[in-house]
Amino acid sequence: MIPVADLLLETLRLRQRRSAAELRHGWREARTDGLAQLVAFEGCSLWLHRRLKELDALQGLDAAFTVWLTAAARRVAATNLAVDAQRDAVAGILDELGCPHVLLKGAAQRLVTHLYPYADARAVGDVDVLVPEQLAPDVWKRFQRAGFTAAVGVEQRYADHHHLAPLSNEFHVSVELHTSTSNAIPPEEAWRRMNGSSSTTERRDGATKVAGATELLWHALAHAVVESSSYAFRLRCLLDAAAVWTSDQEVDWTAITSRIDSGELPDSNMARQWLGAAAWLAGRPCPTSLAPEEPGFDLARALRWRLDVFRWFARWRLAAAQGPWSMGPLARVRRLLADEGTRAMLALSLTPPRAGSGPLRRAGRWAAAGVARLCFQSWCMIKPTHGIGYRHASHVHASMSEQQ
Amino acid sequence: MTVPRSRHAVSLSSVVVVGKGQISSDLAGEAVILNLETGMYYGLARVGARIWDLIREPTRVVDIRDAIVREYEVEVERCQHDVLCLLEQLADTGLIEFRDGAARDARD
Repeated sequence: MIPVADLLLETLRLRQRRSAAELRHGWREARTDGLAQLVAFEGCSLWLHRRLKELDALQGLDAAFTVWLTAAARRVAATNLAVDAQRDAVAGILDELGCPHVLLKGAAQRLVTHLYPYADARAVGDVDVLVPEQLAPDVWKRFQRAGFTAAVGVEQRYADHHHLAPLSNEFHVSVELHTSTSNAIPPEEAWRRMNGSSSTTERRDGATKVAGATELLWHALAHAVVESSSYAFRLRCLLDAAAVWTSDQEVDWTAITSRIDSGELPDSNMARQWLGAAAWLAGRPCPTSLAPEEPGFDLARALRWRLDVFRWFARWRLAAAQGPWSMGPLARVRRLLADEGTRAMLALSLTPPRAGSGPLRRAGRWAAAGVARLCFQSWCMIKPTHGIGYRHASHVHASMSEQQ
Repeated sequence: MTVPRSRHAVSLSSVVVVGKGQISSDLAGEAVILNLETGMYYGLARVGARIWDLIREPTRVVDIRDAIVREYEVEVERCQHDVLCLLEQLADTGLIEFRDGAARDARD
């Protein structure tokens, strides 16, 4: 029997999957306890629902999980529709103001699903749009005149950030006006890259610009690596790159390699590990110049650990009714356990305490992270490296090298 | 169980079309519809999604019924009843509009 975390990955993989019959059989046999929490944590309900429908595997699944998954997918689809509507409204306002702009991230990718299959299969929460730096402050104020508001007192917090304070209106979809794609990239360079690579695409009430494949992939990588390992190595985040990778659009790998080698990102090793994981998910070869050091990030192992964490908490009835993103103390401990496994696999230090915490809280946080790390290491000792029939990441990389 | 009466009386000669205040997407053969004014969202299963697809352009209810009868194994009477029920529910939630005034507010 295929471990359910492996089955999830094989099902979501964009290319080079197992056969449909094998996957259907796997899902009929699958143990689904803890899976809903894992899928919610990974942000892949819409993607999984679509794949299971394509495989005609939804009926054979455990009924309770099917009901949950369908409802979750519907909720994400509706939220994405709200983002689409907000995106079109924002682009319309920018057009009226005569402000050139390029759409970024999920809201942009949803416009170009004809180029990037499955790019619309992830949950999108806000609208990110890049505008020329010199126009941004005035445009931000004009948005407020158009009914958008920023939270009180946040303006100063974003003074040196690569986007202005988030704006929202009665539609409850946040809008971020970016002046760059990262704090490490000067605004004029970000605009040159994004605008220079962009193409015009149709939206509901007009046309707008979406960056090209290389910049979409680079921005997904830069955003992931700058955020945190726990954010970066979730499936939702990896899909952004995998969807670009698996398309027929040309990616300038020389530029990507050169930017990583130039130190544009804070952690080039993590960047390579992330690209290796995204390549596996895309089912495409990772260029030799970008291949991570062997054995590479084992996405299946990370998912198996996270699933076991959710299962333990469910079995002990700890935070069982709380969603993976709940702020309750037990739900936070559960997240710490899940994330510490990812950090250990990346050979990163323990999860640091939050900035500004008092000494006692800092000590407690270090201790909790240490215990979480020990739990993961103990789990590694008693769990086999890979499940039955699963191809380890290093084998995949080897076969990819052969294809090049 | 008593079914609450719809505010709209839809007839076979009504011409219906999806409303402007909504946005929808395909969810693996089903339809998810978001009412932009209320923020509420709705799901339509396969046959409902097919009807939703048909009324993207103004369409007579009788033509919708006939299309569904042609495409699915269903009796005309049953199909007509279900189509009218669905359209009344969609009208009540503000997701569709009537183009010929044939559907009146039942409270009038």
